[in-house]
Amino acid sequence: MTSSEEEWGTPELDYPEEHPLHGRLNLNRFIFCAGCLIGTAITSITTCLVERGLTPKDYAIVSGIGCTGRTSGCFKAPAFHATHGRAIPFATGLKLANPDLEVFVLSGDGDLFAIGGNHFVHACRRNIEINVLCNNNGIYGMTGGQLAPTTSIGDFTSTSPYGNIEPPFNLVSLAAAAGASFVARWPGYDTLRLRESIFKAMDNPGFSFIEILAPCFTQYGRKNKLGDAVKMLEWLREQVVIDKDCPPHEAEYSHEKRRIVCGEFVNNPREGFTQKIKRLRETAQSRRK
Amino acid sequence: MLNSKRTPMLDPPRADKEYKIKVYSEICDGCELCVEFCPCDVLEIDMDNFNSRMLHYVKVIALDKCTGCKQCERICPTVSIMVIERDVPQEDD
Repeated sequence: MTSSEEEWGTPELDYPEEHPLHGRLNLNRFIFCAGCLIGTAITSITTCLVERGLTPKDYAIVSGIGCTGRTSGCFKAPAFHATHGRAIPFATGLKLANPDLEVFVLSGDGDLFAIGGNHFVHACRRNIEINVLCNNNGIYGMTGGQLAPTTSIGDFTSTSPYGNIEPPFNLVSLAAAAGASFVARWPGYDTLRLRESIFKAMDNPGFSFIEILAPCFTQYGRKNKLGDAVKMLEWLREQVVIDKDCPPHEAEYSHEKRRIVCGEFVNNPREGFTQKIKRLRETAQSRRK
Repeated sequence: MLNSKRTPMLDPPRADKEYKIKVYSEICDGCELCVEFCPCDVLEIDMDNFNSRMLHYVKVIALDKCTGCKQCERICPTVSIMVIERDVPQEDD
């Protein structure tokens, strides 16, 4: 420790010791912009785990790179900050090595679908028992507001100053088509329905995917002149339509048409990958005898 | 809205409970999400005081209006607001 550090002390805030979630969260590591719904996603997961009675030994969090990738530092639990786009492969390894662990992947749209799109599709196909929560803000927030694969047509970003011409991914349709057994989409402010879906995802014996709409007001809102955090949530609420019986290929996601269909689209529990591995191991060992 | 056949997700407010709102001012960012989402206008940003990070934090202005829906607690991105409920102490006749 250098002399200046001794003089000024460690640059950490003192946080209240009597906080109910003090044992679960690093309350001084919430480094997100004031009003960003990433923090709401973290607290939703944590309160669901607390309500289920799981201790930090029973679950693990994996996150990738980006704004939402920084969330792994917020958990006082086995949390891993994986390399860019490789959050799902690390989670797959964790789940295969310890099938009793409840594994959550909390990452952004740029991490899971731009560089890690291949891993996502194959995890859906395998139906491995991990819960993937994608924080979709439609832009690369941390790196300076570049065009992401989830940016809607006509949106302005720093790499599309005349408007985006590429059609975006519909994450719900993609996950359902690839074979995920639980698929939902909720706006980040709709915390009650989001928590219900997190409980269902934890119960589901297979791959669960929840898309959380968390608009980025620092980059996306500034480039598209949509105002601050509260104004952007109002802008989002005008577009959101809740339809629980909608088939996943009709779940529209378009800021251009001002229509985003939210709900639970797939709930089709089937045998997961670790169960199949267990069965395969038993048959192989019985044949050897 | 009144013709809706959906079952409500929250319990109705109870008369035999009273609520207290605890604000952890050190970790509050002053993002105003709880102020906007509160249906009864219980909260307000305190423009006179600030915490050690030089940010104005939220304060409770009308606790008697609180119905205990806990929307502020769920929406808060920094877990800096908590709603504590307890039974109303019964008065002796």
